[in-house]
Amino acid sequence: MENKKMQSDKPVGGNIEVDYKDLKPFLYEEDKVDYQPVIPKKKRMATSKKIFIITMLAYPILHFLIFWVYINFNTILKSFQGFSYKTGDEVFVGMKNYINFFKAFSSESGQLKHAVVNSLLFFVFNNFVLLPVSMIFAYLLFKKVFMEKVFRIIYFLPNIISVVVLTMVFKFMFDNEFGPLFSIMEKIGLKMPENGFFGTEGTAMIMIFVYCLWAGIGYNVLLLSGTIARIPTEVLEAGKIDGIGMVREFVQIVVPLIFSTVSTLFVTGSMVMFTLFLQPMLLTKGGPDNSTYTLAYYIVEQVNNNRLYDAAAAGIICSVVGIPIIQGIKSIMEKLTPDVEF
Amino acid sequence: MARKKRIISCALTGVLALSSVGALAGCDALTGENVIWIAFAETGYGRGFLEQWCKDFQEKYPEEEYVFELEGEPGMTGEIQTRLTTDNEIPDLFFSLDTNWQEWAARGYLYPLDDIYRKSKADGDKSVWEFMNKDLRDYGVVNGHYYAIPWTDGANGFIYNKTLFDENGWEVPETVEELYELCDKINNLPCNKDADKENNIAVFAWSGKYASYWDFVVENWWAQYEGADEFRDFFNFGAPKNEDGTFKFESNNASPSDYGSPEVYLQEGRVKALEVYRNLVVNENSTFPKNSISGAVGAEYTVAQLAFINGKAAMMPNGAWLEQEMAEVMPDDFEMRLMRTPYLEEAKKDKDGNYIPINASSAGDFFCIPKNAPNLEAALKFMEYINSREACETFTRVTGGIRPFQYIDDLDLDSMNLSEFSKSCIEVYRESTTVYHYSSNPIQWVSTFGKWPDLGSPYVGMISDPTENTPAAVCSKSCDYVYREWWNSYNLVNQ
Repeated sequence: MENKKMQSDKPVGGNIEVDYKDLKPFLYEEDKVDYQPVIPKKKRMATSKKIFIITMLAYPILHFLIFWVYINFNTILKSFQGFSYKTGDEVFVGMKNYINFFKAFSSESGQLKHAVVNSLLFFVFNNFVLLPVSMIFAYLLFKKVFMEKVFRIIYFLPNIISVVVLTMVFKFMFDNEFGPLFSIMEKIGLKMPENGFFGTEGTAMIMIFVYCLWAGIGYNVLLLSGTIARIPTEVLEAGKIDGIGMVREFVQIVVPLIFSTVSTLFVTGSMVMFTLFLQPMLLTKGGPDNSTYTLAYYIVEQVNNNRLYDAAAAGIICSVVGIPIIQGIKSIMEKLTPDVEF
Repeated sequence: MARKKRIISCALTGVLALSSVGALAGCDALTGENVIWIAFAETGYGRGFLEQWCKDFQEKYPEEEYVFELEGEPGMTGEIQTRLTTDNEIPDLFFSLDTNWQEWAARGYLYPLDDIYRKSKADGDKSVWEFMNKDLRDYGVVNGHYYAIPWTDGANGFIYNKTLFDENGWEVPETVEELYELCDKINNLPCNKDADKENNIAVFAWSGKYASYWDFVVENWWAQYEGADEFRDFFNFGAPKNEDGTFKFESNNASPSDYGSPEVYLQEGRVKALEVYRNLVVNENSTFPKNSISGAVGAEYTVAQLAFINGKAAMMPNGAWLEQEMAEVMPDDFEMRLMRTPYLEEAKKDKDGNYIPINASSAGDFFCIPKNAPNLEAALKFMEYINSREACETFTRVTGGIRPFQYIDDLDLDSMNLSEFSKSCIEVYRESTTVYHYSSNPIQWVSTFGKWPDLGSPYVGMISDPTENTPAAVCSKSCDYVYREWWNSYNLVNQ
């Protein structure tokens, strides 16, 4: 076709007047066709379809508008407000609530200082203790260790029991007066903290970590087991033929292949820095001496103590600091995740 | 495929229909004309008294055919603000523990109870206001109107294991000095000297997680030293009053000094009271409390209470509700009583030279009616009833507790089928001047300074760092904190 066009230099129409508007560029005699532009007919969408789409979209949009736009906007607004008992209205107080937050660092109670340190410790614990341990346990379950099915249930059991009940049971186990574990450990000659595990600064925070490990491992193991189970057996068998042991298989084959799930858990584990409050609240109520506060629990306590506006400012500060940190962690993890498909 | 779709569609329709019927039935049950919906904090005193009130009310007004919906939750107090703010799930009455209800009133969420206070017949011709204990009459006022009516009153202090006291021939201590001697006697019991720690009997059972229970005795010592008037003044920052008894800060052009001063945090009585606590519990040489059950600092209050009723401690700082709260697990052979808080040596005396018994009440729990209560008329009628003499007596008969009205002195305790423990609480209450720690000062409402600002509660801090947190230092730090925040709070009040 291209060649034909090049050979013929006679334009279409001869002496006939041509309406150049209708003339197509490089249209030669051989290509002459009845050109009738096809105008697509505007199909009218069925009403039922419209209702369906609107209904489907309405819920998420409303949810977004109320629970994201409104809540966040209102929180920002509240962080600059206070309440006047005389007029019954909210009044503008400028940066007072933000200043209160920073002043709280020098507070005698030390709540906020402890909260920041403990939240950072939770970042370390979640990502560098809980996550690796979960990976190892998930791998062992995958390798069908002795009583694997029983372990699977035991690990997951805490996830289906209310956290209130679970913390109570956990606390009673280690109680000085009634706890079986405490008396067993005492009887075998271990030196026990006289103020109890939950009443001694230092051990109280450790106990919260132990609880989180006990109660939190099941969820991670469940997710990771699912991912490990998807690894093609031929990959593992190839490794086996090459004579690699369990450690190498875990480190060099399993971990790279499940890293996308690991990185997701790493990001969610990092977010705990700003969201975890139930465990210290139920196990130690922030004590002893405010040493087990976390940032989220600090904010919850502000709300409980009717310092709603201070809580709003604290929340905004945490968001401003937290969002870039979490985004940064997310980008790093995305870069670290090997590009594998199976 | 079409069949599957039809089945799914039918199933979804069924679920939707069921939920709608359920929801509508629920609405009908909660908002009918004769229904009175009460949302209450179901805590120490349980719900027995409320069920009895409802029954008596129904019998009193049979023609109205009232039906009650009782919604009891231990954490109800924390829910109320959200429900009021969102105007969602609004009952006819709320029974709440102590909280910042003044804000709800100022925002216009609560129905004013002026008529109930002034016009109702609570006891013969006496109105609720006249029937109420004098010192608590201003409790429910915000911006000149009444919005809340106090629920409980009572006697607090040391509750002791009577069985243990009788077995060992120990006298109930009258003074703090005698209390110290008793501590020595308990510590020297043979069971506390042998190698077996299982059979130890500690002097006090208490919980570090809820260390503020120590307030129940510390406040008594503080009030004994300062006297009732000074103790009351503390909660209003010592704000000056006009000749008619109103506070100067109530006027529109109140000056900063009209709101009082943070200096009240340096009251000597506070230091003296904390000194007694330190002598009883704080170990100067270590971070382990003395005279306490093992692991007290980290214990739950339920664990501490269990330890007490199981004979692992001789005394416990607590209140009149303990018996009701632990009724289900109370051993049959266990007997306990409330003792009058032992007197400080420097406690105030009357003109005859006798110590003045003072009871710092923990009153602060209250009833209120939301402005948008679905059945307002019935709610007001029920509110009037539950603050009558008849209802107060029912409360005492069922719970052994006390309401802050002038009826307790007239009760014949023997005919009320009360436990010996309840009788001991009422006896302490009767013979004492009861003082309350509520505040009418908006600076207190705005700042929520409380008794121990910036510290939460000082008791565990004094144990973990006894050198730094001496009684004087604790009070001085509180005062400094209030000074720093004073202007902020003052400005907010006057905005």
